[in-house]
This record gives sequence, C-alpha cells and structure tokens, in this order.
Amino acid sequence: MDSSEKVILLVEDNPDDEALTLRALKKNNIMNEVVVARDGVEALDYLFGTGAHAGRDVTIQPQVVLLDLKLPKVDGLEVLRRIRADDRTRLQPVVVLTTSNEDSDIITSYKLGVNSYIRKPVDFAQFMEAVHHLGLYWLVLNISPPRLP
Amino acid sequence: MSLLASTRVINRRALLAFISILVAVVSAAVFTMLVLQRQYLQSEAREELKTEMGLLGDLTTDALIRSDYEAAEALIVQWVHRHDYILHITATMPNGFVLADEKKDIAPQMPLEVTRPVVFNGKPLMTIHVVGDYSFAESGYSSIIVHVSIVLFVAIFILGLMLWWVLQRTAIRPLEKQIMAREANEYELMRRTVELEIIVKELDSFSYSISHDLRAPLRAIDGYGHALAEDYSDVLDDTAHDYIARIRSAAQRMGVLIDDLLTLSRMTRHEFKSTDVDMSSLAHDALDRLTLAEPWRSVETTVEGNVRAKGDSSLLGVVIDNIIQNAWKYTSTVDHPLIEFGSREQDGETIYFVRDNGVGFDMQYADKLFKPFQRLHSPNEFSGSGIGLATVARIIQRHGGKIWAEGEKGKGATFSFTLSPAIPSQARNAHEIKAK
Repeated sequence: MDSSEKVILLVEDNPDDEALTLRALKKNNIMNEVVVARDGVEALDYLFGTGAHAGRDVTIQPQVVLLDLKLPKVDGLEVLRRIRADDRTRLQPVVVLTTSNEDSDIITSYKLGVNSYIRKPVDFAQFMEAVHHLGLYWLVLNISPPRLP
Repeated sequence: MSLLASTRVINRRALLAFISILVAVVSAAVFTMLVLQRQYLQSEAREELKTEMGLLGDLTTDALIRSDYEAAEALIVQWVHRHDYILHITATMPNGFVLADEKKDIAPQMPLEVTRPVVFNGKPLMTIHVVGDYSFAESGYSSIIVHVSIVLFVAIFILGLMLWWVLQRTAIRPLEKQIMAREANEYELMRRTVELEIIVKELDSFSYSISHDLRAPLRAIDGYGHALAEDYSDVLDDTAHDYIARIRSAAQRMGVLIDDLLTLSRMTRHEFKSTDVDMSSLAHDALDRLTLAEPWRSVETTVEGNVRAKGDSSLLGVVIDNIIQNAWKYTSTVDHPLIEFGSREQDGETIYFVRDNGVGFDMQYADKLFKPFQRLHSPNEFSGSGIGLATVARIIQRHGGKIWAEGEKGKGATFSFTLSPAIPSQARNAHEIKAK
C-alpha cells in the first residue's frame, strides 16, 4: 500500500489552523489524503461510519488522527475516550495536536491512551518542523496496527 | 445552635444536682439534730422524773411505815395531779397489793416510763411505775431546728438561683456569645471557601481559554505572515518583508508573554507539596540545561554542595531555573562570566543566593525587579517578558520567605532568598480548602 493512500484525519474546528496545518503538510511533501472533521461529532461519524459518513467502510481507518482538544459539540478528550472504548478503533493511532499545555489536558490525554501529545507552537517555522517530524514518524516510520478483518 | 442548647441543659443539670446534694446534706443534718435532741430531752426528763419520784417516795415513806395506806394513796394521787406530765401511776406493794393506780385520760405525746422502788432501811416498801409525757421538756428547740432548716432550704434555693444568675452573667452568656461568634465565623469561613473555590474555578477556565483562545489568532498571524512572505516573495519588496518579519516577531513575542503569564498563574495555583529539596542539584540541573542550549558559551560556575531546603521541589526548581537563567543571560556580554550558587546562615535563617558578575542593575530600580512586566533592559539588549522574577517572587511568597536583589551597574547582581519553614503547607494550599 502506497503511503499516499493512507488517510490522515485532521480534527480541527479553527479554519485558520486547518489551512495552516494543510499548508504545513503540503510544504513537507506529505501528499496523503487529509479528511477534515470540524467538530467531535464529525470525527466520530467518520471513524464509525455514521451520520454524514454513513456507509463508509470502517475497516479502513486513518493512518493517524490529528486531534484538537477544544472542539464544538463533543470535545477532543471525549472523542479520544470513544475511540479507545470501541473495538473497531481501540488501536487507532491518535496524536493530540492542540494549543493547550495544561497539565490536566496532557495527563488526561495519556490516561485515555493517546499515542502522542504535541503542542501547536505560535511560530509557524516551529510548527512546520513539528509537522515534518509528525509526517515522517506516523506516515513512514511507524507501523500501524493491522487492518480489521 | 444545638451546642448552645446542650450546654445550657448541662449547666442547669449540674446546678440542680448541686442543690439537691446540698438539700440532702442539710436534711440529714437536721434529722440527726432532731433525733439527738429528742434523746437528750428524754434522758433529762427521765432523770428529773426519777428525782421527783424519789421525793414522792420520801413523802410516802412515813405513811407506809405507819401502814396508813389510805394516806399514802392520797399523797400519791395528789402528787399525780400536781404534776401535769404524769399521766399514769401505779404503786405496788412488795406483796403485790396495788396501793394506787391513778390514770389521766390524756394520750401521751412523748411517752416516758420509769419504774422506781421506794426503800426504807434496806427494806422495800413499794415500787412506783410512772408513765409520763416529756413533751413538757420540749423547750422549743425542735421547732427552732425545723424553722432553721426551712430557712436553710429557702436560702439554698435562693443561693442556687443567684448562682445560676451569676453563672449566666459571668460564664454561660459570655461562652454562648463566644460560641455564637465562632459559629458565625465558621459560617463566614465556609462561605468564603466556597467563594474562593468558585474564583479558582473561574481562574482555571480563564487561563485555559487564554492558553487556547489567545494563542490561536497569534498562530494565524504568524502562519499567514509566513505564507505571505513565502508565496509572494517575488512581489514583496524588502520593506514589506521587514514589516512581515516585525508582525511575526510581535506575534511570537506575544505567544511567549502569554505562556509566561500562564506559568505565573500556574505557580500560584500549583498544589504545594513540601519535601526535602536538594537545591545544589537543582542549580546543577539548571546550569546543565543552559550549557546544553548554548554550548559555545564558557561560564565559570560554582555550586555549593549539599545545600538543602524544605519546600515544594518543582516550585523551587522554577525559582532556581529562573534566577540562574537570568544570571546566564546577563553575563552574556562580559569577558569572564561567573555564576555562583550557595547558601549562608543569618539570624537562624538560611539565605540562598545566586551571584553573578554580569551587567548588574541600578539599585534604585531594585523594587521593580519582582513586578510582572517590569524590565530594566530593552528587549534588543536582553530578551525577556519580565515575568520570570515575578513568578519567582510569587513562589517564594508561597513558601513564606523573602527575596531581594543587590547589584551595581556593570558589576553583577546577587539574588538572595529565604524560605520560612514555619508556615504549614496547608496554609499555602488555599485553593484546596474544601467546604464541608
């Protein structure tokens, strides 16, 4: 399977951040399809093939979920909790990509079983670098859990 | 108010018990006195009666010797009627002949029986048996005792009431007032604790939204500035690029400011855990980090070994980090930079200090050092948000200590602080107080 077939699910409600993240991915030559969910409900709909994404083949899951914490409707920590609670997505790699560096958020994320926690820097150059490492690690180096039968 | 009511009940019960015991003791005393007095009266009356009966014997002896029994009987009857308190008399001859048997029809109040033989020259003439009433001897003592005891009971009752009144005035009421005041204080404390908790929660959500919401636009400003400069580099002239660079740097600077402010507020909210802290190793760690970040700098450092403190290790880490970072920063322009960490004892207190030979500062601005956003240098001289030392000061304050700085322009600075061990850690965890 070509790495470009691997989907990235970007859960982000802020359109500015969305565009900047997409730009950073593009500038780092990460050509994978990026599915954007703009709130927690949309993210869960995509992952579980419900709502707007009804009928999606849920045996194919994203290579990595980039999850913001502060989201409308269902917040990021709740999304993470539901991902870990469901057998279909229990092993799904999830990276929290957020502005918060509150200890409570970091601790809760890890308690809920996040794979990585990255704080979005203000400096775009630093953000570019973070996205570069992220892409290299999660899309190239890291081996995902095998697809569900 | 239940405490008050029960205190009252207990006080009243104690007083009642006290009075009851007093009444019982007095009653017992009065009873004993009455019994003893009656016994005394009886024996006195008996003696008197015996004497009288002796006289009667003398009086009748002559008639008996003469065997004039009628005269003897008349004497005896006369005698009985002369004495009010004699109620019944029998005079019996040794041969069983009853010489006289005179009885008055009066019921005895305090009966007394005395038997006495009449003897002449060793020969018994007769035996007199008398039933008398010795209530005559009651000279009013008993009624005095009864009256006194009644007066005593009344006095005890009045004294009890007075005691209650005095207790009320001097002990119970003031105590009640104190208890009421304390209960009011407790209520006030609880109310304030709840208020404080609400404020802390508000502060938490406030700093959370600062951390999240204020930084997001900054990322957009910086990000799109970057995109603009990158995507339109051929259309933008140098001035435009300069402006974009300034916009971006301002955004980044504000990002740092927000982070530092959050750190400052976090230091205030941080849960205080007092332990034994190795200050020397904290200083070593701080210097190691700085050396790692700027390996090209050569700074001579002296760290006194085994300097220990009692306090919160992570907060004290922030203190040492900040002060040593300052020393590191402000010695960057001198030829042979020196940074020293150590401690000394003064007036029973341990003073910790960080000394450097950097650019120093003018002592007249010393009080500005520990206030947030106050800086003694312009950003292009030395970078910084002016929050680091404010954070340090707040941590020292939470430890109950003092911090001060001494310096001279161009000759370095010394930052000294104390940590008071006297303040219990609970007092520093104000935000942790829970309402009952």
